[in-house]
Amino acid sequence: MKLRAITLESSIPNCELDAGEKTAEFPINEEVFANFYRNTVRPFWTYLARVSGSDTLADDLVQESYLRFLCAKAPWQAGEAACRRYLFRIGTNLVRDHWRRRAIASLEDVPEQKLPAVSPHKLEHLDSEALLNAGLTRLRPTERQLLWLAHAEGLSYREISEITGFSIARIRLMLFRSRHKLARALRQKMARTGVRI
Amino acid sequence: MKLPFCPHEERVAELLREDKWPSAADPALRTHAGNCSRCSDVVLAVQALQQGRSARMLTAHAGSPYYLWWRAQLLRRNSTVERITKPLIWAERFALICMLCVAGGFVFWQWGQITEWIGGMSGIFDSQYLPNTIWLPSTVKSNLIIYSLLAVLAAIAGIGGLTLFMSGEKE
Repeated sequence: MKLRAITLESSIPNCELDAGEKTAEFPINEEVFANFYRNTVRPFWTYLARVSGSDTLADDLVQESYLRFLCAKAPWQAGEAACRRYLFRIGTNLVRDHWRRRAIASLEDVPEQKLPAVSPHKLEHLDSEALLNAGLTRLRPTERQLLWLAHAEGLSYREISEITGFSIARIRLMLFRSRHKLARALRQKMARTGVRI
Repeated sequence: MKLPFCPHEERVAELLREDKWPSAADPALRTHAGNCSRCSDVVLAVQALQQGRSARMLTAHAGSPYYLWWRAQLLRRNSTVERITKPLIWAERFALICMLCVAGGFVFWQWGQITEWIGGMSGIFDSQYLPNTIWLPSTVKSNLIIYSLLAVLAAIAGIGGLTLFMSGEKE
């Protein structure tokens, strides 16, 4: 299957200013943003790459998310954790929009093993990476999303609810199911390949 | 009856999330997790995800924050300009509609006068009034009024098209 590199440039709308906002100035300065970016970009990219299953798409979505984040009224007063959740919410919505549009082939059909997972000098991670990739491909995108937010990012149910818009009860149930689904897939793969986590 | 979930599952997941497993876990819980298939599933899945995150973070792509900052500023500026010019565009459209209505009303009101005036003008397009220095083919000379009207319409269409093209380019 051929993944078409898409450019989301055209889909970035002009920054929507709030009705009461009279100035074109940002509420923060360049350095504050640069620090926030350095602290968040890697986990955020990893989340999008894992959930979408495509590094190229994750690159585009990261850029678009930060642009939207900067143009929107980010909760800077509430602290970095709140801004981080806000950023993840933007990213989650963009991934969801992408799936809805289905502009390219269904990401659920893209096997993650085909995608570059690690650089060649990190060979020690290769086996466990391939194992996890195999497990994640068995899950639906929403399940990947919830698992990643809960267990890789370590967010609470309330925070996940804020990001995804799902109710806490639904998150709890979906996490419960997807954890077992992933574990089952991992065990099967481990039994076949002999690789351990 | 076997429950589809284990009551300790949430606790195990929480300890793993907080990176306190197995060090801070109760020995009884550790023993339980070793024997319970549900809890061991949780341990396996969460550890795989955490390892996956660490491995992937090393290869994560990170661009320049300054470039994004610059682009966001540009987008915001464009948005401001658009916000300012939007009422002007609407005012322009409103003025155009008003002008067309007034012109239409005038034509309707003065229709008799206009037809009379056009009738008087037709004599001007008689080829006998053309200077001898201007050479025109005989077919054009005989239908001078039609060709003149066509030339005027072509000029109006040309200018109109150019105006539309330029306004489209501007947008």
